[in-house]
Amino acid sequence: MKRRVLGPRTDVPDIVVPPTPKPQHEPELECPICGLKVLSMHQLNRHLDDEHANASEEVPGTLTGENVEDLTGWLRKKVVSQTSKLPIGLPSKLVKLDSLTSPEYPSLLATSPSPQPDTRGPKVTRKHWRNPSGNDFCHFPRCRKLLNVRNGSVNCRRCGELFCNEHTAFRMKLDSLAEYSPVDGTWCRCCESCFNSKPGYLDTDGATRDLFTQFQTSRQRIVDQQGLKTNQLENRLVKLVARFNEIDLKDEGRVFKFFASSSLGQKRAAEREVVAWASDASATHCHLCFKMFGVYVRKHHCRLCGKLVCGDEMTACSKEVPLGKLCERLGGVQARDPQYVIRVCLGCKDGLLKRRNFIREVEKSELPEYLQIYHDLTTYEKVIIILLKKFQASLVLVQGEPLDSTIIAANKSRGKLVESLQAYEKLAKSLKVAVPEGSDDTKIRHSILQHATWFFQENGGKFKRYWLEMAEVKPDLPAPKLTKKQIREAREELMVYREQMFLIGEMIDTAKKQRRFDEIPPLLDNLRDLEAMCGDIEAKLGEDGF
Amino acid sequence: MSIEDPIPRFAQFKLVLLGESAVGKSSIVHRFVKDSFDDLRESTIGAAFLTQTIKLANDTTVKFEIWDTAGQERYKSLAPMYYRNANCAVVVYDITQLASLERAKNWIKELQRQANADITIALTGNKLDLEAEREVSTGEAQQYAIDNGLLFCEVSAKTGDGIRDVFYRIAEQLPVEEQIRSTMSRSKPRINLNKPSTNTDQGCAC
Ligand SMILES: Nc1nc2c(ncn2[C@@H]2O[C@H](COP(=O)(O)OP(=O)(O)O)[C@@H](O)[C@H]2O)c(=O)[nH]1
Ligand SMILES: [Mg+2]
Ligand SMILES: [Zn+2]
Ligand SMILES: [Zn+2]
Ligand SMILES: [Zn+2]
Ligand SMILES: [Zn+2]
Ligand SMILES: [Zn+2]
Repeated sequence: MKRRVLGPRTDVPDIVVPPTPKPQHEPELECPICGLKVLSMHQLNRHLDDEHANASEEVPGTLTGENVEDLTGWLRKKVVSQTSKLPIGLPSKLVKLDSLTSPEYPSLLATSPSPQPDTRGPKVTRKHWRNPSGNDFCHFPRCRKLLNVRNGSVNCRRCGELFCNEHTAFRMKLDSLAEYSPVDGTWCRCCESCFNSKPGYLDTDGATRDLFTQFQTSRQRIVDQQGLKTNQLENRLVKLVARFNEIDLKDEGRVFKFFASSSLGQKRAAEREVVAWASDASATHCHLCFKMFGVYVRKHHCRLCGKLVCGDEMTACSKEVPLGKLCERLGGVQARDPQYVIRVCLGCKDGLLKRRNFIREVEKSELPEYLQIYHDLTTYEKVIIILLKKFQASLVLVQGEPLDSTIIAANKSRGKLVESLQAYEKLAKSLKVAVPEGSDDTKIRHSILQHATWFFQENGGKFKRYWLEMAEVKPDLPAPKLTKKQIREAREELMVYREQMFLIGEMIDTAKKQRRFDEIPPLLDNLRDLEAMCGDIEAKLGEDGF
Repeated sequence: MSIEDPIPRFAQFKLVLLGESAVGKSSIVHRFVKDSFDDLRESTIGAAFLTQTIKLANDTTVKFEIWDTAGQERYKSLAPMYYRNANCAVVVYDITQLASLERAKNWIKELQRQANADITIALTGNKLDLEAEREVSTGEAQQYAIDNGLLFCEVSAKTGDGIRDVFYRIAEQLPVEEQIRSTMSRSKPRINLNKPSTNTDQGCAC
């Protein structure tokens, strides 16, 4: 069963490009943070600037205060979209539509539901058809309707079993022996499981293209530009403060303070030295709010960029900010006269302070424990993937030359892999014991856990497959004791039990919160039973637990 | 303390709901516990836990600890854990789906093999409000229940018809007095046990 609930993956924003019929089209891209679909790199960049301006400055792979919020939203969306994809309760009509509209069958949509007359292609055998007994049930496991005139009673042309009308609404091409034959078969009515069993049908990988480097280069350019602008603004402010301090210092040395106005004049001059002011005639509108300048909307110069801007309180396009405040936020510089105000436009204020604020927030924010765990999990994931590749490579060597040296090497990398997988599992389990603080957290926790379970099973499975391959070459190597099917079933069972443990944990918390204390003992009992059950299965699986 | 003082008489039992997916197990429990019905109920994941108490005659309170299992194949392995030490089971089928009765019969066989020998089982046909689409006749299911010594009811979680009845009739079958006696003898060794028994006849009143 396909149940992949992906956890957050800020580390590798694989941008998945669905196989499009016309490759010359611009690929469809997805924002790696919020999942918004955009058409071009340019749009993505703009979207990132508008919506996730700060998150863009972080190093990929780290979770920082600012983008935790984005991540929360993103995860919530993923959770919602994934749960809606669960096969549970999925109306069968949807399934059908989905499969009929898959790009593989464009003709189905274009023409009538029964696509091609059976005259084309070979005649398909009917020998294997089940004869209706008059008391048959639809063979589809989730249906089991009594087959009658109303429901219909149709043989799947491939497997021959009897189904109701609704559950034979699929078409596939069959040869004369009723086997799947995509090229020169005849279009035939079939059941869902036959339809799904077509080779490759359930592959979930699809075509992927990694556009991350391309994205990163393009993104880096913009980030660099922004960085440069910020540096420029900081430099100007530092210069300005230095000039003012000079003036103030001289002024303080003077015995008579009657000439304060002269220092004010000097300061005004200094303001113009640091940045060239736009000429009053150069702009008719405020460059931020586009209001036309006039008697009521006066022109002002921003002291940091020199542009003309309005001073409207409502739009806050520019404001007079005390130097002390600016210096305090910037850090490292000090104004002798912190009360002195300079006019700064909104653009410059943001440019100047955003990076600082961001860095400050990152420094002070402490990640919630489960996000710390998540962070560690992603680190382990990278290691495990590398180790898997190494292990596979070492197996290739063993298969080529089953020498002692190659076998020792393979065993060594196998040991490391087992170790990392065990550590990964332990870490993932620790998510379950930590106490949830709110419902959002619980959801994120659950998603992370599900992602971890998926990752563990996926890569543990790969490991096992490689291992089996090796065992075929070198039968004297220890092979797993259980059959593949048994292992798969036991793992599936284990997953169900673990999920249930998680649910019970949540029920206990709710019971506590709602002060229904009498419900807690039976729930705890059950939790213990489940734990014991998991223990049993794990013991049975042994090393096959991976 | 005089003998006439009402002594709190309390017994609790584990109840498990079994049956094919979508026959209305969760709806039945919610009708019983919250007296509500939700047309758009989401499929149960794993097994859910609820409790409800009912008052019997002669001041007896019976509390049900209810495990509502998911009917889906995926959660099949969870069910044994919940029926293994259950005192009673409500096995539900949908009167508009003949196949769901077959599944209910399988559950009953499984219970007879694997659960407590003295488990009280109630075979319950749900969706009585959909009389027009009925596929399972009352007679057929009732005969099966009689043959296997089960309680039998037809209910509608949607309208609430017969729901309370199921649980009251189960409670009548449960060893309430024994449990009260054993808990009392543990806590208060000398107590008047001359209360009339509540056990009534077993006949079905549906
Ligand atoms: N008409 C009708 N529908 C019902 C009744 N009980 C449940 N349903 C519907 O049957 C579906 C499955 O119910 P649910 O309680 O989730 O079944 P469960 O899977 O056995 O727990 C839901 O859409 C319910 O609204 C009933 O008594 N009458
Ligand atoms: Mg349910
Ligand atoms: Zn975005
Ligand atoms: Zn088939
Ligand atoms: Zn069907
Ligand atoms: Zn303005
Ligand atoms: Zn400016």
